Amino acid sequence: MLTIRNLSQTYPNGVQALKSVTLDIEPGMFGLLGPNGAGKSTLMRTLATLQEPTHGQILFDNKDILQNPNVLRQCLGYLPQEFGVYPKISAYNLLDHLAVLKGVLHKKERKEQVEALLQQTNLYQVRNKSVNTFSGGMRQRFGIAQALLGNPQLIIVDEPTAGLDPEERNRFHNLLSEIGENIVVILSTHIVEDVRQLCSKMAILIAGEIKLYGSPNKLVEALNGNIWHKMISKEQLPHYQQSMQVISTRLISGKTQIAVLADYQPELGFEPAEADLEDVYFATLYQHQHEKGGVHV
Amino acid sequence: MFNKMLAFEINYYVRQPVFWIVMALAILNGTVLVSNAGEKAYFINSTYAILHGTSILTTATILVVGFLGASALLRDHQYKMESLIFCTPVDKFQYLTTRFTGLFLMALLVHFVAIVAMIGALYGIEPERIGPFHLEYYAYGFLVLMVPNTLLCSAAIFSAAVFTKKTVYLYIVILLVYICYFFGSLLGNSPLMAAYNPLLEQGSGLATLLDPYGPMALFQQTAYWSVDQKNTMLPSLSGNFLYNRLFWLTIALSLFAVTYRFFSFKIFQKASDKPKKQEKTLKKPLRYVRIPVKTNSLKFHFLSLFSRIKIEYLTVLKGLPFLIILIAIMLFNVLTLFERIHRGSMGTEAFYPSTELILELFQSDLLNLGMLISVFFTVELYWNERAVKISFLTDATPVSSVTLYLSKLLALAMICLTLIASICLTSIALQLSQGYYAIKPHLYLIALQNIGLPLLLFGGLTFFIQRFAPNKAVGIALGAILLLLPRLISYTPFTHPLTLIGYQPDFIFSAMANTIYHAEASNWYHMYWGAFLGLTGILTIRFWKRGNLQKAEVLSPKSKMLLCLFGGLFLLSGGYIFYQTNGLSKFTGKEQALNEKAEYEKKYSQFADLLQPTITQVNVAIDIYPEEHRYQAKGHYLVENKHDKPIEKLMISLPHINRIRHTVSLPAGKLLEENLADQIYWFQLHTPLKPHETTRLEFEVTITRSPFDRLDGEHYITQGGTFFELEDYLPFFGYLSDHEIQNEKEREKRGLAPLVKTNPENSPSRQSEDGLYFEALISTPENQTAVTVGDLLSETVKKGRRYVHYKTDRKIARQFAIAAADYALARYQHQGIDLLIYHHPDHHGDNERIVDALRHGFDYCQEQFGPYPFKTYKVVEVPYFSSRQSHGSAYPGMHFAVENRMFHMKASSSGRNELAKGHLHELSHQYWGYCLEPNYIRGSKLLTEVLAQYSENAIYEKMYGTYSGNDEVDFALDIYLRSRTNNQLSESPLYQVTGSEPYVYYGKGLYTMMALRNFIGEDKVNTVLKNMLEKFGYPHKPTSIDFLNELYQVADTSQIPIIDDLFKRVVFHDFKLSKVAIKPKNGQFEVTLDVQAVKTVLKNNSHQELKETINEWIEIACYSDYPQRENQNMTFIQKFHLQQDFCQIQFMTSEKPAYIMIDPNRYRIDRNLEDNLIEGIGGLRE
Repeated sequence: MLTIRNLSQTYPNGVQALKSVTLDIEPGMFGLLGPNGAGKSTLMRTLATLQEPTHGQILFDNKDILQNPNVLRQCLGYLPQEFGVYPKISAYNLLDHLAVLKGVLHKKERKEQVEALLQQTNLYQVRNKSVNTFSGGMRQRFGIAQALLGNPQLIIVDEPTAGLDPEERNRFHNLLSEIGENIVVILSTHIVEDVRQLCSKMAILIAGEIKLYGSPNKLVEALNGNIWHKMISKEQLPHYQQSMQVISTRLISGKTQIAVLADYQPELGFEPAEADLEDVYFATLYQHQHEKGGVHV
Repeated sequence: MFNKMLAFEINYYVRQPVFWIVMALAILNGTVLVSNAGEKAYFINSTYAILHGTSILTTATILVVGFLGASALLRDHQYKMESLIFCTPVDKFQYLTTRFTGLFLMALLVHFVAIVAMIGALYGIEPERIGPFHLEYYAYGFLVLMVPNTLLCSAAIFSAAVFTKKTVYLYIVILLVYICYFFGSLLGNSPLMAAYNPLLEQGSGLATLLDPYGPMALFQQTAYWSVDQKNTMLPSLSGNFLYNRLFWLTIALSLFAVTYRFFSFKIFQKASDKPKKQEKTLKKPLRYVRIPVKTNSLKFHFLSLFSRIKIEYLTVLKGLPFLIILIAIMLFNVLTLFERIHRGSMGTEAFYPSTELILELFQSDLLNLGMLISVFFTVELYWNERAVKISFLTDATPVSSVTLYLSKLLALAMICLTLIASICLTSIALQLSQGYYAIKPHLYLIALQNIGLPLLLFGGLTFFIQRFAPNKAVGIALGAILLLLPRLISYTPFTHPLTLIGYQPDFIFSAMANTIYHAEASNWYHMYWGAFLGLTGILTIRFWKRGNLQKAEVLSPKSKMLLCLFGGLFLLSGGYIFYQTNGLSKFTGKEQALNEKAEYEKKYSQFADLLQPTITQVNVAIDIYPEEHRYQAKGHYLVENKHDKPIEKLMISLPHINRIRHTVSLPAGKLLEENLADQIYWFQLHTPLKPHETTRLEFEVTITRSPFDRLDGEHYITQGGTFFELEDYLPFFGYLSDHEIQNEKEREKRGLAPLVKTNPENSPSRQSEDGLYFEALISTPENQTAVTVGDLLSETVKKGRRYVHYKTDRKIARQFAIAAADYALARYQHQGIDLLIYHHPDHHGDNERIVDALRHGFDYCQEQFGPYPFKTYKVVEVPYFSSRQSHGSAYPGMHFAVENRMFHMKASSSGRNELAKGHLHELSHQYWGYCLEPNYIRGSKLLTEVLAQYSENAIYEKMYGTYSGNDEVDFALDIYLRSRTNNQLSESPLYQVTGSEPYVYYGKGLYTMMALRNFIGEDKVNTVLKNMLEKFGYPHKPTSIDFLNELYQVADTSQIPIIDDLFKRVVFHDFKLSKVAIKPKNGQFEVTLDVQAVKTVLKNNSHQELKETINEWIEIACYSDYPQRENQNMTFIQKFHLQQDFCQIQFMTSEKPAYIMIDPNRYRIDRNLEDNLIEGIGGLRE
C-alpha cells in the first residue's frame, strides 16, 4: 500500500535526519518507534507531503506521491505533533472548513460526518466553542477528528498521546484502532506502550535509520530467553555496564533493576525474564549505541 | 545582572536581519536627505538645515522602533518562552527595564547612524555650500528631537507589545502616532488654529502640542529667521517647543510607568470555556463513515475558495486591530476634510463639500495610509496559518495552492474595499452634515478604482516577496522596502512610468469637464498593472510555500494559458502606453529635457539680435475637436518691419511640445530650410522687407493634447472643457529666450554662460509698437461655445458645429487664450461696460459676488487710474484638473478663472465677499500688465503683480473698511518670511525683483505698497499710478525706475529715505516694548514706555544683515482689550519719532490701555512680533 524507498533527508545545516529509509506498510496500524530526534517527525512530514526528501521515493497505491502530492492529499489524514487553530472560530466551523478543503462537497454529507466525528471524539457539546479555548486533551481529540475528515486511506499521527491523561489516551487509542482496520494508520511515538497496544506492524527508527522492522509479537518472541534481570545497588551499575550488555535500568521501590541482554545467564543472581516490547526497543537502542562505540546511559 | 541581561538583549538585536535592514535604510535616508537637499541661502550643515533634516529623519522613528520591537519584544510570547523566563530569578524590574532599554538604545543607535550618514554625505557636496562644521549642531538635533522621540515611541511600542503581545497592535500604535503627527502639522498650519500673524491667536500652542515629534513648534520658532540666524543659531528650548517636548516626555514616562505598574509575570489564560449546560439529549448518535471526496471539480475549487475567504476575512474583521484602524482612519478623514473644506483655497473662503473636491482632498492620504495598511495586512494574511500553527493541517489537504493564494488576495481586496467604502461613507456623512445634498456616488467609484487597484497591486507584490522571507519579521521589513520602492526607483534613471511600480496619472475630477483629465490613460495603466499583478500572482502560486516544501509547483496547462494571457495583456498594454508616451510623444527625462534646451541655446542664441518683423495682425480659424483632444489653427499673420534696416531672412520657431504638426509658408519668399528637430523654418524674402513694409505669413498648426502626456494646466482639450493660450503655440519670429535654462548650476554644468539679467537702472526706457489686431473664427461641437479676446461679431451653427467670430477693435498685446465648454452666459452692465460671465450651467451661485467685485473694481480703477479701454469685460470659468494650475489668468478685456478656486465657492460666513479678492486681482491686471506693459527685465513684476496686489487690497478695503486688508498683509508677509531663505541667491530689493522670487513680489510686494500708502497717503500713491498710465502707457515699456522716479516727484524730501527702504533695499526692524508705566493724570492717563527699535539692512548681493541706526516715525497704539486685527478695539494711535536703538517715550491717552502695541499695522517687517505687544494693566504702578 505505502512503499518507501531509500528515503534520505539532509538539512541545509548538515544534519542527516533520514538515511535511506525503506519500508513497506500494509493496511492496519503501523507503529514507528524511536527516541526523540530520531527523525520520526521528518519522516511523518515527508509522508504528509509537507516536505520533500533529499532523495528517495514514496509510492502510495503505486502512485508516486512526491511527483504528485495531491493524489495522497485527497486521502490523507494528518495529525501533526503540534498544531494550532484560528482564533475565534468554533470547532464545528473549523471542521466544516477543513472538510471542504478536503473535498467533502455535499453539504448534508459534510454535516453528518462533522457531527459524527464531534460525537465520536466527545466534543459534540463544545462544538460551538472556539477551539483555541480547548484543553490539551480536547484539542488533541479535535486533531484526530480533523484527520478523519473526508475519505482518509492513510492516517499519520505524530506523537499524539504526549500530554494526555490515561483516560484521554485510552479513548484516543480506541478511536484509532476502530478506524485502523482497513486503512493505513501510521503512529509515530516514543512510547512503547502505545505500539504494543495498537500496532500489528512496527519499525524502530534511530538516528534516521530503520533498525528493526516486523510485527511486535514476533520481535518479542525472538528476544525471549535472552533477557536477564538483577537488582543491584546504584554503585555497582558502572561495573555491570562495563562487563555486560545492560540495555536498560529501572528503579523499583528505590532499588535499581538492570536488564541485560545475553544468550546465557551472565552471572549468578540474574534471573531470566519474559521479554517484552520495551526490551526489544532498548536492545535495539543499545545495539545502535554500541555500534557507534559511544554513548553510555 | 542588569548589564549582562542588557548585553544579551543587544546581542539579540544584532543577530536579527531586521536590525540590519533598518540600519541600511537609516544610512540611505540620511545620505539621500543631504545629497538631494535643494540649494538654499543657508549652508547645508547650518543649524536650520540640520534640524530640518533631523526632523524629517525623526518622522520615521515610530517605524524604526516598531520594526525593531516587533522582532524583539514579542519573541518570548511567539516562541513560548514566557513561562521559562517568568519563573527565573529575574525580577519584573530587571525584565522590563532591560527589554525597554534594549529597544530604546538600539533604536537610538539607528538614529545616531542616520546622523553620522548625514555628516558623511557632506563629502559629496560642493564646498561652497558647506559652512564651518559644528558637531554641537548635530548633537542638539539628536538630543532635543531624536532622543525624546525615540523614548516616546519606544514607550508606546513597548506598552503595546507588553499588553497585547500581538504585532498587529504595534501597527496600530504606528498608525496612531502618524495620525497624531499629521494632524498636528495640519492644524499647526491651519487658519482654524493659527492665523498668519502670531499675535492674533492665543491658542496655537495646542496645535504644536499635538505633534508628537516636535518639529511644528521648532519651526514656528525658526521660520522667519535670517540667513545668519539659520546658519548659526540654535532654537531655544522654550515656549511652545519646550512645552511640546515636556508634554510628550511626560506621556512617554507615564506610558512606561503604567506598563510597569500593570505588568505581571503571571500568564493569564482565558479560562477554557467549559460547557455550562450540557445538552440533555444528543441527537441520534451518528456513526462515522468515510465519505468519498471529489477534488477535481469546479465545485470543489469554488467551495474551498469561498470557505477560505470567509475564514481569512473573518479573522481580520473579528480582530480588534482592524476595527481600531478603521475607526481611527474614518475619524481622521472627517477631521481633515472638515479642516480643509473650511480652509478653502486661500484660507478665507470655504469650499463646497462637493464630491469632486472631497475626492481630491482625501485621495493622497487614503492612498498613502491605505498602502501602509494593505502591505501590513498582506504580511499578516500571508503568515496567518504559520503564526497560529494551523498550516500543517491546511497544507496537507488537497486544496489547491491557487485557492490558498486567491483567497488571501480576495480577502485583501475585501479589506481594501471595506477601508475605501468606510472612507467614502464618512465623506458622504460629512457632505450631508454640511447641508450639501448633490452627492455624486459614481465619483466614489473612481476612488475605488484609482485607490483600490494600487492597494491591491502593492498587496499582491507583498505576497510575492513574502516567499523570500524566512520569517514574519523579515517579511514586514521586505514590505516596508516595497513601500519605499517607487521613491527609490525615482532616484535611478528608470523614471519612465512603466518602470515606476504602481504609477498612475493624477485623478482629480473636474465637475465642469465631467471627467478626470487622464481618464483614457488611467485605464491603460490600470490594465498594465493589473496584468502585472496577474503575472506576479501566478509566480506567487508557483512558488507558494506549502508546509516545508521548497520545490516549486508545476504549472498546470490552464495556469500556463493564464500566464500567457497576463503576459500578453502586460505586453500589449505596456506596448500601447509606450507607443503613446515614446512613439507619438517624446518621453524626456529631466536631464534630457535640459540638455535639449542647452543644445537649442548653443545653436541659436547667435540669432538673438537678428532683425525680425513684428506681428501687427493675426487672422486665424480654429477648429476644436474635444473628442480627439485636438485643435487646428489655420491662418495668417500680417507682419511689419519696424526697424530701420531691411529684413532679408525670417527665422520662424514653433514651440517644443508633443504631438504638434505644422506648416508655415511665406508667399513673398522661399523656404530655405525646415528643421523639424528644432522646430525652425528659415525663409528668404524674394525682395528684402523694407522698413514699414508689410508682408503675410501663412501657417497651419495642429496640436493634440494626449491624456498620456503630462497635464499642462494651461493647455488642455477635453470633452467637457478646453483651454489653451493660443499665442504660445503659433509661430514666433527669431530666437526664443524662453527656452533658456534658468538655473545657473544647470547652465554651468552644460557649459552655458550665466544668464544676463538686465537691471532697470541700466536699461534706457523703451518703446515698442508691438500691439496687434486679433481676429478669430472658432468652431466647436454644437453644444459648446468658444470664448476668446475681442468682441463677439457673430455666432452661427453649421453642420453640427458652432462658429463664433471674435475680433478686437483695437490693438492688444500678443495674448489670446481660448476656452470652450458648454457655457451658460450671465450678462450684467456697469458704467456702460458689458460684464459677461461664462460659467458652467450648475455653477451660477457666485455670479452676483463676481459682478459685485467687478463693479467695485471698475468704480475704483476708473476713478483712480483712468478709463477702462474695452466695451466688455468677460469672466470665463475653466476646468480644474490639477493643483499646479494657476487659479486665474488675465487677458485683454477678460480673465479666466478656475472652477472650485475662483468659481463655485461657498459664500463666506463673515458676510464679506471673499471671492472678490481673486477676481479683483485679475481685473487689476487690465491696468497693471495691459494698459501699463512693463519692459520685461528685472523689477518688471513690481509694475504688474505688485500693483495688481495693491489695487486688489485697496478696493477690498474700500468695500470693507480700512484695515480690512490687514489679514491679507499678514498672509503675504508670512509667505515672504518663510520662503526668503530658500533661495541660494541673495534676495533682490523689490525694484530689481526677478521672476524666480514670487515670495518677494507677491509676499513682500503687498506689504510694501500698503506701507507706502500709509507713509505718503492713498492720494499720492494713486496719483503716481495714474501718471504712470498716462506717461508710460502703450507703446512705452516702463521699468521700476520710472515708477520710483514718479514716486520721488510726489513725495516730500523727508519721505525719500523711507521709499528707498521699501523699494531699493531689504530692511528689517526688531521692535520690543518693555517696562510700561501708566499714571492717571488730569482725568487722562500718562503712559511711559521703554522702546527698543533695531534696524538692519541686507548687504547687497549677500545674506549678511548690517545694523543701522533708526530714524523713522513709528506708530504706537493702545487697545481696550487684546488687539483685534482690524483695530476694532483700538483706543489710541500716534506716530513717534524714533532715533535710537533704545529710548523711552511718553504720551497721554484718555482711556486706560489694556494692551499697547508698536507698529500695529505692520508697516515695518519685524520677524519677532511677540515682544511688540505689552500688557498695560500689569504696568499700572508708580
